[in-house]
Amino acid sequence: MNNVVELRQYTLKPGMRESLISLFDREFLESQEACGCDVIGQFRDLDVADRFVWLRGFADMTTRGQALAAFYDGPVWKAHREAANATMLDSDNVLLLRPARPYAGFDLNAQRPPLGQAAQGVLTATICRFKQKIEEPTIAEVERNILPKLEDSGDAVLAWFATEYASNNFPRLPVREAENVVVWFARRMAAAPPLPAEFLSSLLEYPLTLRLSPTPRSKLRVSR
Amino acid sequence: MFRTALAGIAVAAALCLPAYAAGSATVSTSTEDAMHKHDFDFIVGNWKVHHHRLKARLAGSHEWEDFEGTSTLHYILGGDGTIDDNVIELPSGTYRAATLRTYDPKSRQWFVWWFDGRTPTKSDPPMAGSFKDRVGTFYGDDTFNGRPIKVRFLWTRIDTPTPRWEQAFSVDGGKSWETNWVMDFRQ
Repeated sequence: MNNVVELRQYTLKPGMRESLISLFDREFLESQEACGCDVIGQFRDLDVADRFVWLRGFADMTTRGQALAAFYDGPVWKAHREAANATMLDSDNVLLLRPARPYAGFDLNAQRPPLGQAAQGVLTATICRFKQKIEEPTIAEVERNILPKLEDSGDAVLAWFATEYASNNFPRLPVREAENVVVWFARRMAAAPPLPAEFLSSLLEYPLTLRLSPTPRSKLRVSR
Repeated sequence: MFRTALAGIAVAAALCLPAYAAGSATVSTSTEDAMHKHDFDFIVGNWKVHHHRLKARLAGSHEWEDFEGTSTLHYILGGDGTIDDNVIELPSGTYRAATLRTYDPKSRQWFVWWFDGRTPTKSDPPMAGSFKDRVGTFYGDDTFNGRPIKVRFLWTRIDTPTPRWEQAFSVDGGKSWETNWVMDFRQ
């Protein structure tokens, strides 16, 4: 189980997304996993042509520090970093998350598909940015009043997270500081349900929902 | 008439297949094998349904809500299956859902697939179970908000004019259950 998860939204140079996906699916999955990272999923953002989104998990913060050092100082990143960085404009939009409840994270036993598979399904990630620090009352509020609304609308929540407040222990890669977020991942089938005004008033902005299409080798995928 | 005819067929089958258990045992087993064709007699037809549902599941909540709906069930597959069509008047909006049940003679269990009309390409993982002592009990594995759970359906009061269906979730492998949905049927 990943107790720490990064939600990474990269803005790429125009037209470079397919190049990065093909490089990423080929070179950066098993190589990161060998270092102790769990590459949970990687996606095209269906609404932003040059946005690549991926999820990376770790057993805990200590593992994160060690695993990232091992990967970014290792031979695979060294061999391909120029090609990867050449596709990117911005890779700093990163949210550091923890499962909102002990069992709320991704626990994927799925085998990673081989190269050449077709991409499958669409899932959503909804990011709620709160004005206040996320503590138990907010988690309980989401659990009791928001997740049931999603379910009633036909969504299946796959996992949900809140901000991990531990400080970034691999500062070479920035994360968004001073964020207070709750993020849920869902298999959306119907229209998004209206959310209560009281809930919305506790947010900095209207929740942002990303529609994510898994790349061919994404471990996280949804069946059609 | 129906059962007599079936018993006759079973005897004939037993004679043709001496490798199986002795004749009388085979007859009784085979009669039992047809009994499932009546398992859902109690709920065939058109029903009004009162829903009593826990607002938030597995969240320590004790707040329930009530709403109405309808359900219509009939047999398919010559009694080896049923299908029901449901209108569920959720406070946030009415939706439709259907249940398909199929009987597996090998395991002597019913398999239950729930289809939400808003998600027509998906079904929840099937539940499996049977009726014993006028109670139908069905179990399955699923996940809820990312958490692995066991699910239990119960059919009770099946020999009364108001049968009851209920659903419970367990997060401890079936040691303890939280009931989260009760449907009371009436005609």
